[in-house]
Amino acid sequence: MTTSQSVLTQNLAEHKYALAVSIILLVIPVFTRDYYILSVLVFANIYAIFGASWDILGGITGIFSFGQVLFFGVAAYMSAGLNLFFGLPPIVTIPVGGAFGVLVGLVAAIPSLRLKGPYFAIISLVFPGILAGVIYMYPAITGGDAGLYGLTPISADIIVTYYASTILALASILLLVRLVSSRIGLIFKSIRDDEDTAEASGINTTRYKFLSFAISGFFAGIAGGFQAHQLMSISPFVFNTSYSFTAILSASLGGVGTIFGSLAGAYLTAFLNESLRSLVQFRVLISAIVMILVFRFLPEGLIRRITRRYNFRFGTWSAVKKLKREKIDATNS
Amino acid sequence: MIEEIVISALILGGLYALLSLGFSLITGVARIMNFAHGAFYMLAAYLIYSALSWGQGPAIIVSVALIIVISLVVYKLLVGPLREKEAEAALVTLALALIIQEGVKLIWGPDYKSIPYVITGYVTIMGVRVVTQKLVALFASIVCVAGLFLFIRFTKSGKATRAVTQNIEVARLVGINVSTVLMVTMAISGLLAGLAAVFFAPLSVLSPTEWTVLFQFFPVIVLGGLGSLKGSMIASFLIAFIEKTVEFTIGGGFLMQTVTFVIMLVVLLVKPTGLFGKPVMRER
Repeated sequence: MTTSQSVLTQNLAEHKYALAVSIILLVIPVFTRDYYILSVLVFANIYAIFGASWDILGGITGIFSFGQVLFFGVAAYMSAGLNLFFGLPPIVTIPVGGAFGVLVGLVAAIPSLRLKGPYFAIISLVFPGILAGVIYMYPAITGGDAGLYGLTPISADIIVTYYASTILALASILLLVRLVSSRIGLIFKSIRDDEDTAEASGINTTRYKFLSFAISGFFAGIAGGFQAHQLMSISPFVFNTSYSFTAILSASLGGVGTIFGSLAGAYLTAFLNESLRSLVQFRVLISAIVMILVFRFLPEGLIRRITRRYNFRFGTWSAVKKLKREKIDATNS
Repeated sequence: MIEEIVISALILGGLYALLSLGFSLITGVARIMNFAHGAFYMLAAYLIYSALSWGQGPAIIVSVALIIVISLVVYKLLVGPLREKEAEAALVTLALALIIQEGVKLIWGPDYKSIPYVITGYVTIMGVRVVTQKLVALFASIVCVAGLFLFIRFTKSGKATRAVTQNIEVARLVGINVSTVLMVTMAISGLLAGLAAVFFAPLSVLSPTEWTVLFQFFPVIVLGGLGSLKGSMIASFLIAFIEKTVEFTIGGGFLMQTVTFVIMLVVLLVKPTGLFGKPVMRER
């Protein structure tokens, strides 16, 4: 399944899903205007951006980060601070938060250049904790343990908020999907698959790693800023490891390295979180179990497994395409 | 004050040595980062707490045995099959640590618990009163470390372990049963976590987030070099000494962590293989 042709047919099939999903998401408010349902979906959209931001680094470039909250949290605090202390509206603070995400991403990229896999895992696991410590140290500015609250909401109307988040999520993900299928994406994947070979073929891997971190940081930052405004508050809890898991869970449920999967994975994650609302004490437990199951038994992701099964059983959209796919699969195997 | 620093650093170093040896062993041999190692230590302590009604001796034996079994099951079911993908394996063990944390919270509750000393009483060394348990713990740690070194250096299984550490494929070629070696290594790693709980857990209070002691000994592992036993050994006492010096002279729990994290960062950027580490994780 690694030839460019089969990837292409896969992408075609996925684009159809993409279109269908986008339309469904955009018409949801026609059917329900329930505040609760829509606010859950807003969070799903935020997780989708957050998950995709992890995926571009972990799934596409092959740099597994355990501390994605670093970008998310810093951007959230920056957005909150700009909003509270300078009175800037969300439409300014969220992109500025994203810019801070880029900054943090570029800083985080420096150790990743020297450190391979597990060493970088250690660093990325520890960093958010250090930052949380800094926040506890300056309660006058950061609000300390209680955090900052009283932020301007995205909009008083949940439907406006829903559309803002949906359009932001769809735009981010489509942008990232385009990026991944471009030349830059190909270079990211070549770094993931074999860094030495990539370097030997004349690719400046350092520059592209910085780029990958910057992109990842930007989208994680946007997600962080949006969530801060949606919740109207921010606390050091955003630097918790289990929060990084939200991103990884969203990306991995949808299928690591697919970007678009993050959207589906995020909706599942949000649904999972909400259905456990009355069982809050099981939430982290269950998401950790789900994550282990996915990584151990479904490395391609739950959603991808289902869509592939569907293609297999009911055929693709046209008989010609099906024939083509069988031919490609036959030559692959 | 110097006496206090030395003694408390030796004891903290003993804990770090015991834990980081278990972690380094499995990292070096199987090339797996077991982020659940700290969680095994915590779980062992909680198991001892629960089994205390059977008497302390049986409680300790049963708990340590259980931890060994659990670590073997975890290896067989979750980590072993992912051995080729180190990042995924690390992620799975981290998720496992969180599962254990939440499980402990559900079973034993979020409040603090403590387990009794193996030996009570205190002695006075160089004018500093030291609880006997601390000395016992330090002694036990030294014995365990020495035992592990002797095992690896002088027994046939130890030789096989070293061979697998150096090169898995070649070890397989010369007829070593690699999967058995890996299982034995995992069992020893679990045993070390259990023993650390027996001797060191009574010295502090237990809470469901106790597994984050893992983050505390990351600097040790990095400074010693990933997968290097000798390195982790020396780095344990070095880092413990630095931590305690900072704690006693400048003060502040958070600062002490920051200092060691900065050391870790500098080591990673200047000499990522640590003091004695070979770049084990890159050779595949």
